[in-house]
Amino acid sequence: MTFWSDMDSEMQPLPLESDTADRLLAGLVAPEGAPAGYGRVVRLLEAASAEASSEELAREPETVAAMAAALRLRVHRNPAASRRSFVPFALSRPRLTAAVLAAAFAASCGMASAGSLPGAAQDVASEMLAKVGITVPGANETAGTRPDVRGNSASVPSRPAHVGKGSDISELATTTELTGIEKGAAISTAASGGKSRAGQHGSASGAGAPVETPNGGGTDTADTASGGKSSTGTSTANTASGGKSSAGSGNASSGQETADAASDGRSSEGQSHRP
Amino acid sequence: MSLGEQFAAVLAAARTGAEWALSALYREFHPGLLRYLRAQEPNDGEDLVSETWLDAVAGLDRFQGGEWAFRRWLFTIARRRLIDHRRRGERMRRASRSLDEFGQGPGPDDTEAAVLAANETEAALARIAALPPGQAEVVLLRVLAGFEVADVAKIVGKKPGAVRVLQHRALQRLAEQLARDGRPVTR
Repeated sequence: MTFWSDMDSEMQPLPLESDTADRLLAGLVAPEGAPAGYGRVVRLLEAASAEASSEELAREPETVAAMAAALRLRVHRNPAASRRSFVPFALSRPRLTAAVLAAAFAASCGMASAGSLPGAAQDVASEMLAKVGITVPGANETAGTRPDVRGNSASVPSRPAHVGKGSDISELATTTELTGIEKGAAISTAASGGKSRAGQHGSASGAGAPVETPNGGGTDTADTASGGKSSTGTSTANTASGGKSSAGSGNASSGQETADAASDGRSSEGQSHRP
Repeated sequence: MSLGEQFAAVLAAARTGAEWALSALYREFHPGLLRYLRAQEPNDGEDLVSETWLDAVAGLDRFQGGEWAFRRWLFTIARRRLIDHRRRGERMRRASRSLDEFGQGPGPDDTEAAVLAANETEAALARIAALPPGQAEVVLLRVLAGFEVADVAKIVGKKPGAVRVLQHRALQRLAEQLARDGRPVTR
């Protein structure tokens, strides 16, 4: 017994030339003239392309009516009218400008009567509207306890002393009565409201003195490192250079080199200690 | 059957909304469109062809060309409608029903009964629609609309050589299925 699944594997594709396939699909081949195995295919294709049935054309009236309605709607539609339909009224450019200006003027008057304009604008609006008999508050009438004092510098009232420290500090900074630490201390005290103690731990006379270091400096280090030879070299260098040498501030060997350099090679004893 | 030399006049009248001209276009092109769409979407073929006509009407002023170009234009619209429809996700939901309905109709085992039934055309279309989609579409466009290979290639966006391969395989498959069935398709 043969099953369909077996038939699939047993059947070979029926031979068909490409041109013949083209002619079959174009309806140019009769079933009798078709290649072996394709007669039934031709009949199938003929059945598929048979004349239209009444059932297939049954919806013609409503479809054609819908198409005609869509076309008439489009043909008779006036593009200009359709644009207007979206705008309640047409505004020309001058009318639009006038409308905008009128709206802006009305809004300004409203804000002016409420005293909501900025100070200068409120003053201008108050003066202008007063000329046409409309009273609106001035800039400072609605300012409560904090009137607007804007204006040029000459009209600014003198400020109370406690209002700010900037001018005081500026005055201290530019005065020539104080100098150095005393001037800095005065500025610092003024800026900090007396909290700063700058300049109170020392005196101006000691400010320029050399700072003492707890260690003897490079000399001690040099002595230790060189087993005491550094001191000799340093003193020799000082002697030879007439006090110009600062040897001893580095370690032993560098102290001697420094001494040599400072004494232009006259530190002969120092040279003897060179390796 | 075609409109031939009357096509230009019919099209011009149709653009003005003349119903006689629209009827002429409908009778000429609707059956092929309906079969093409219904073979691939049995449940929604009618709706899709209506959408196709309304799309065509909307673009009627933009169309330029003769009768064959108009036919190709219409089927291109129909194909796009079909693709949109499938993209909307309705295909998967209704395809199962469609296959069920096809299963109740002409199948490999009952071809004769189906074809001998009143509606041979539907049976034949169902047989073609059961082919792989690419093959089915090519055969439908060639048989229902009468397009040449080049026209089909333009509509489906393939090269003519690819269309020839598809149609060749489709005919071979149909021949094999009918031979397997062993009974002739009679009219």
